Amino acid sequence: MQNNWFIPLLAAPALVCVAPSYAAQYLTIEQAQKLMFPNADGFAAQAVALDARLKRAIKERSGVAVRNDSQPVWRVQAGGKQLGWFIVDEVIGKHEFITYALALDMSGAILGVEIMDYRETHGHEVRNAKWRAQFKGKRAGEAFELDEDIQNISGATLSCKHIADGAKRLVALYEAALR
Amino acid sequence: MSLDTSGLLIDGYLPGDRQFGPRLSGIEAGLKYNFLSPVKDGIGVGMAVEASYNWIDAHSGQDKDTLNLETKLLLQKNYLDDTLFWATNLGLEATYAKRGAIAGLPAGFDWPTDPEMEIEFTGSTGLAYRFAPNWFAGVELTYQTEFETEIGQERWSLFGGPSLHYGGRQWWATLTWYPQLKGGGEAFPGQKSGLHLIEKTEQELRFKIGYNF
Repeated sequence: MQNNWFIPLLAAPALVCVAPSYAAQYLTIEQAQKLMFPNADGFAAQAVALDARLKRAIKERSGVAVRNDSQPVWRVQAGGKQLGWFIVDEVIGKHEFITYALALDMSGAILGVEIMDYRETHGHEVRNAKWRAQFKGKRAGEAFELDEDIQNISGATLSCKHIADGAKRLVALYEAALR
Repeated sequence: MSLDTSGLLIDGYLPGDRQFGPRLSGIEAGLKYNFLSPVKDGIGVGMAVEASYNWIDAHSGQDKDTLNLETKLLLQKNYLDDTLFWATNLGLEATYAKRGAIAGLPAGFDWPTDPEMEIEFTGSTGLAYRFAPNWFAGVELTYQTEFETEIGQERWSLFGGPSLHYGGRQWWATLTWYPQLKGGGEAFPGQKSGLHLIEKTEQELRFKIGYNF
């Protein structure tokens, strides 16, 4: 019998029994903005063009490659004062993209992470509020490593890893382009 | 399994025509444990143990009780933020087999029914790259050799070819074209040289579908 090495390659996580949850949009951009910055009265779109120099700077700071040429970013305001930054990002889950939002305060510390779209059948546990709360207060220079400063969820390892990498990349983006 | 051996007669291996559609030929159970995760630990290391019992010979379609126990070492390394994958499996399988007697064999046809013991080594390696959302292209190689009680090395073969994998929200599919590149060991008169064509085919096309639930 010939081995099919795609089996360990693509089905490495142990068998888990979870209720199917897929192709779900949990939050629109407006809903995520309202949820993460309830006191804001304005969100000014300020997409960041990711040229080669900026990509290199982010990769050097975070160790995570930048794949897109533009990053959707909003400047968050209230009463004429800036509260922070709202960023929408995509990372690969296992096969599909996960769309999530990251909120940063003016010092570059993470205020929160919200999963906006989750399209996989497994790994939706990353929506768990307790898991996402681990990112609160983190900033550039921290590890963002599974089982070190970010707890892994068995059965959702790829989603956990890629969201952690994504958050690490975005706080590096703040240091390189928004600060 | 389904089988059609019409027109094939190979001394010691294929004693005559057999044709049947899908039927149950055996059962298999397996366990797999990952010691290290390729996502968390830099390299994935796992072990798998599989045991099977078959009552039909997959090659001839004749009655044959076969007990297999296979242990595998699984290695995986991910690159480029988990978009390029390298995986290698090393497996060692021990087999006990006993053929059933057949009446009316051609004169002088060798069909031993004494128990036989075999040991098989399989090494496979492959690369896959996520070239577009949901799509992976890959290439893989499998070397396999088998040693048997009476004749020493009974066969060896090297298969290699490309794979195309699609993974969606709910299901996945993998298509692999897997020709035998080289082979040797036992041969039948008149066969193409440089290949093992008794227990292996010259061309293999695999199509696997998975459904996530």
